[in-house]
Amino acid sequence: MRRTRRYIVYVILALGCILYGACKDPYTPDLQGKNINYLVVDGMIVVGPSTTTRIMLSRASALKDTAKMIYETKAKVTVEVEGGGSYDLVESPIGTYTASDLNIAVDKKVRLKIATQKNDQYISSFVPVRNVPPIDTIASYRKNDVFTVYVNTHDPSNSTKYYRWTYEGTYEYNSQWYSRQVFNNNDSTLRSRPYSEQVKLFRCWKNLVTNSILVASSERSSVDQIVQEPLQSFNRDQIEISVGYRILVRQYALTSEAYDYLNNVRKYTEQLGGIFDPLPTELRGNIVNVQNPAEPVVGYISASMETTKARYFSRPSYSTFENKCGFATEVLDQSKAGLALYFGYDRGYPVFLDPEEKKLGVTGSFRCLDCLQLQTGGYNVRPDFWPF
Amino acid sequence: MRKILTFFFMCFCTHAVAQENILSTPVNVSLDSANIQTFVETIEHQTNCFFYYDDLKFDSFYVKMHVTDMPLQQVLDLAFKNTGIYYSVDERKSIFLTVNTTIALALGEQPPAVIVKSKYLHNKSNAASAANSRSNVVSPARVNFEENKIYDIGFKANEFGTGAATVAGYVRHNKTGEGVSGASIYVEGYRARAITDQYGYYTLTLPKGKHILRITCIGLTDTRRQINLYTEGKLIIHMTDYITSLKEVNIAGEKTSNVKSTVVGFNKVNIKTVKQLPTLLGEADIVRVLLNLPGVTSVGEGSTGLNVRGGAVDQNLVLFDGATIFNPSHFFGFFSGFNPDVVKDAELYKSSLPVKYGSRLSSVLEVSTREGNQNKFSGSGGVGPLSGHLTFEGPIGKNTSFIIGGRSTYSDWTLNLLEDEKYKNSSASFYDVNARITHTINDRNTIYVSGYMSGDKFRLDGDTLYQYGNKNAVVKWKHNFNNRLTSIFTAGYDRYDFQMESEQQDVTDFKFKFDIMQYHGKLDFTYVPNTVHRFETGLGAIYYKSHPGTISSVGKGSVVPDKMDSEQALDLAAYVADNITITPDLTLNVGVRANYYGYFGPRTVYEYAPGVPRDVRSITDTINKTGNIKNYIGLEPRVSLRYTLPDNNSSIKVAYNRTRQNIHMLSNTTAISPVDTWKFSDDYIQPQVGDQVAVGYYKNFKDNTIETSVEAYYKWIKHTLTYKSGAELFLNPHIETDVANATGKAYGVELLVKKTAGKLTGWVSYTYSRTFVKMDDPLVLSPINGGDYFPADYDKPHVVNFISNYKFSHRFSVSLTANYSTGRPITVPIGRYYYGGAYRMYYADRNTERIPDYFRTDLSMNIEGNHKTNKLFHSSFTVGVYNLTARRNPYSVYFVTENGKVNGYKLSIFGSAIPFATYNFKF
Repeated sequence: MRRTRRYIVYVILALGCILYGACKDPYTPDLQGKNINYLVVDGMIVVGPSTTTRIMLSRASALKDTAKMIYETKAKVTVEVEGGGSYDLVESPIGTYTASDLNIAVDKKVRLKIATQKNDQYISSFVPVRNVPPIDTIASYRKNDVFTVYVNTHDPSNSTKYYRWTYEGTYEYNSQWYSRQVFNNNDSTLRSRPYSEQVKLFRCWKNLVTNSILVASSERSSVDQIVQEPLQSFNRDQIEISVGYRILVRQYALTSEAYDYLNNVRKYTEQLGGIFDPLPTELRGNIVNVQNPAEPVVGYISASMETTKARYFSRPSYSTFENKCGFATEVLDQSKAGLALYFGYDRGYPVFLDPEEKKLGVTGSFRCLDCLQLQTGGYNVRPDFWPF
Repeated sequence: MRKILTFFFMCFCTHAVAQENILSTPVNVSLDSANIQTFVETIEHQTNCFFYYDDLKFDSFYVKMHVTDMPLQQVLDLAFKNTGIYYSVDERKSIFLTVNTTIALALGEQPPAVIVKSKYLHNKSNAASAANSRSNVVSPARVNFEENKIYDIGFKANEFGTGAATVAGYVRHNKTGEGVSGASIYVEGYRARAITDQYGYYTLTLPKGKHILRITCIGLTDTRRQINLYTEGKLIIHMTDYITSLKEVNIAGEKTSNVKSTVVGFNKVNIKTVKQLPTLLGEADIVRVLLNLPGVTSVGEGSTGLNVRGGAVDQNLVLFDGATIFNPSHFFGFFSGFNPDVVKDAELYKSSLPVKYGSRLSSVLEVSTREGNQNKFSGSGGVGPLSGHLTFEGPIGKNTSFIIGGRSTYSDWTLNLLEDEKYKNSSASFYDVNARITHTINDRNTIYVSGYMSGDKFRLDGDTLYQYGNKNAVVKWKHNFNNRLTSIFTAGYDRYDFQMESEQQDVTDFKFKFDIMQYHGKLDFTYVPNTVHRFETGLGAIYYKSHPGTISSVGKGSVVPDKMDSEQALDLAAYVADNITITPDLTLNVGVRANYYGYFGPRTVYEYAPGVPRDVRSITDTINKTGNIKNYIGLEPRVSLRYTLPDNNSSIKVAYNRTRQNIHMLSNTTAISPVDTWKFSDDYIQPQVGDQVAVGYYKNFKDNTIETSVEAYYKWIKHTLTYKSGAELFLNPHIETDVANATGKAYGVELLVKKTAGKLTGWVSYTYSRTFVKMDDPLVLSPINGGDYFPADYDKPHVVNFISNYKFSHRFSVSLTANYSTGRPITVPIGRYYYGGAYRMYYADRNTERIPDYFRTDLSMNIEGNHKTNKLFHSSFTVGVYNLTARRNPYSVYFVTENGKVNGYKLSIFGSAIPFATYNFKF
């Protein structure tokens, strides 16, 4: 239903644009903006054993600011339970305030209190701790050659209705070739590299975190059921699905108001804007400055239990990913002099050009043999949860 | 002419015996005020004689006679006594009737054939001189004959007498017999004038005596009629197409009424103009041409929704032959729903809204269809890149004509040609059908029946199917009580349906639909008692009903069925207006319209705590109400004044108008979409009220072939709807929690220079206008932009339009158009923040920046086949380029968070120049 207007924009694009050439151009107008430094409260109160509540405090900034995040540090952040009881959050790392294993009963009302370093007092409205059903399935579908991970869930008691998800994704990626051999400059010979070292160079992993707001509701449905709600999508040629992808999904329940707020944030900031889209406006959450209620504060605090589920996907059959890091040429002269010419003093690195590893080749850059160099943020220690 | 006058040439001698025999034949005549035809037929039935005469010269002849067994000679003498009619008889028992002259049928003498020197004979135009010998159309020579004939209007007497008399009748097109609307009739030596209505009917009150009437209309050849006005009478005037003479331009008189009428802010576009201009994908579209008029804009290229003088799109009353079209667009606004083959013209009232029209705030757009050829069966059709169209028209019997036209797309097929799988699974199509029957019962009563149906359907990637369409039917009965009093009774039914159906084969499958319909009835009178007054009065009633939304599950779907309460309302109006010609130079039009609006149950009404913002938490009660829930009553005064300056080629006009609107379209997007529903005024949502003052200066040059005008206006709008942040309009039973009252103001100056005749025709216009809205509802805590005025989404301060057509020959013309406008306002972020794993944009005030300016130029070439009249098929080609400069005009600018970064994009609908070609034919 909410996608209706979007489809209309697609049709207009299909008619006017796709037929006659692409029409989406990057546009960076010289926007003045304003020097806003409103407090941004990101996160939710998560309740239950082996859970962590993470609240990140930062400041909104002017549009042109290319500087890094402005964290609100050294604040005093407290979760307060209606009718008594409170839990202090600890800052770790900087700007992020955490507390683990909050033991608050479902349907109790809680709120967040923030006292900044400058002693500005912020307070959220009281929100109920919502129970959440388990995740039914994490799976994927293929549509127009896009690989999409989705979630299915349902609540037999028909009471959850509004859901939010976050995920932690991990994918494996490989360097273009195995680095089987090392050239020894002293005697101009090729020696085998130790296997564990080969694997460390070849296999890398990288983590992905949620960078979009994932909410859904079943308010219009007679059964409290969410079907195939997309969480993450990859094109068939993306490296993320070139070897394998694993996702851990955390599921939370929202109140109707929290859902509306998050859904509007998503609508105004993430989704394709067109002439049929709603006009973006200022959004007000449920956090206020006690001394100055007119001050805008970004964020909406809600409280929920948590359920999780993980799933591993191997490379889909339709993946067209090719590692095009570099190229290699065949080594024709395999005499010592020849090898020295090819590989001496890091001029080139030995690789095998065929799967049988008979045909020796040379490539110019070690980057294509070391997955750590291929992407920033990758690591070569196999995570515990990785299946092989 | 009843029988061909050239028959005379076959008569060589007279025979005394034959004359004696035939004239002494006894006949019986019993007639009361019979015309000449009835009279001669009565005699021809009883004798074996034949009468020859020119029936036009006898159109004011009436005879009253009751005789038995009287010799024919005595009958004729009696009948033609004191009428100036003479008769002659030849030996073939032919009786020739002549007016004012006798003919002697002696040997060697020729009867006087009516040969009039015709300027068309010197004109080397095939079309004009070919005289349509195949059909019974009125030939140009005949028209010219009509120009020189003296018509006696009313009962002829020896003296004209004193006082005034009224002549009335239709102005018709000589080829098709269709009424010519907007033709101007004025009288030499007088400033009295008449304009034909949309049926071609006119009425003109003049002092009794001899007059010369001059009749002019754009696109038709000027003509004149000489009349002797005795008493009230009828005069039917035929006009021919104006064939552009490339060597001489012979235009006199006034081509349009811009200087002479009292109407401020009026534009008329003829379909002929539309067809020669460049089109988008070959679809000639009258609404896209209207967008080139000063004071008319739209939010973007993909939208035919009109914003007239700072009004919202739902504030235009779009009438198609009297039927209200709720969504006059196809393909989500790419094309209008008006088939150019059927449409005659479009009239747009931007300021002086005629008092007979109400129910919308900003403008009235009246699109008229043709009546259909009354002389012969004919058809036309064409093919373009997107759609094909076919129209048939012709007479049914003597007094009835019909026209039926349809359009349909083959875009499904076009989409299938695309490589991408996404488009292969998609479909998009539309159609529309028009039908109209005109039946003339007698010269006092005419009935018009018209119907319209349109449908749009599309599916994207095999997922959700969208359908919407209009259905309209109207019956009009025009009754002329006498020359001075005319009435039109209109009744009709209008409907709009929208439906979408999700077919994902899972639990989310649903079907959503809504509709709005109205029954309407209207009775309008026009009374012209004398040359000073022209009264209009009437009554109107509309019954509205809508189902704002129904959702149900289909297939495997588990959606909870939800049906919003239907809404019903009654809108009654009565009006009276008088157009007073105070002096020939000063005309005043005063009118008032009284409007009653009632909102009716059964319906669930929500009660809110008083004085606090209305939202779900402040609902105090829910009441099921039946019967009358809320009433609104209001008056709409409308005044305009024209003063003609002494040079007689220029005038000044002033106008004030108030309008009320009781139903509102709910749309919180920039452009209207077919998904937008309607809401009727109720306890919380008040009728919108608009006030406009306008002044204008008009001056014509070069025998009125160049019209210039300057108009300025200021407008106040009360109770217009705006939407709170994050408003939910979809299946919301309490819309009042999500909308807020707003006040609007708009002002502007419009300059127009228009050339209406010659090789080069077209116009240039410049408009400066501003439109502002403020959310000043006391029940909104944090109004948009702090409750200050902000530019409306369609606020475009500077607009320049250039439209031209140059005729190189009768068969080849080139059109060039250009548009420039300031970019529309958009809301841009003022800052950014990190939330939910990504940087996001912080929005505050609305519409503070603008998208880049818009510029587009289009070119088309029109090539017509030869104009030989006896050809079976007439074909024409149009080729051209839309967006010649391939400029990527942004349609929207937006900012999105992608992979954690804020990116700005501009989206243009047409990324390059788009060529098109169409082929059209007529038979």
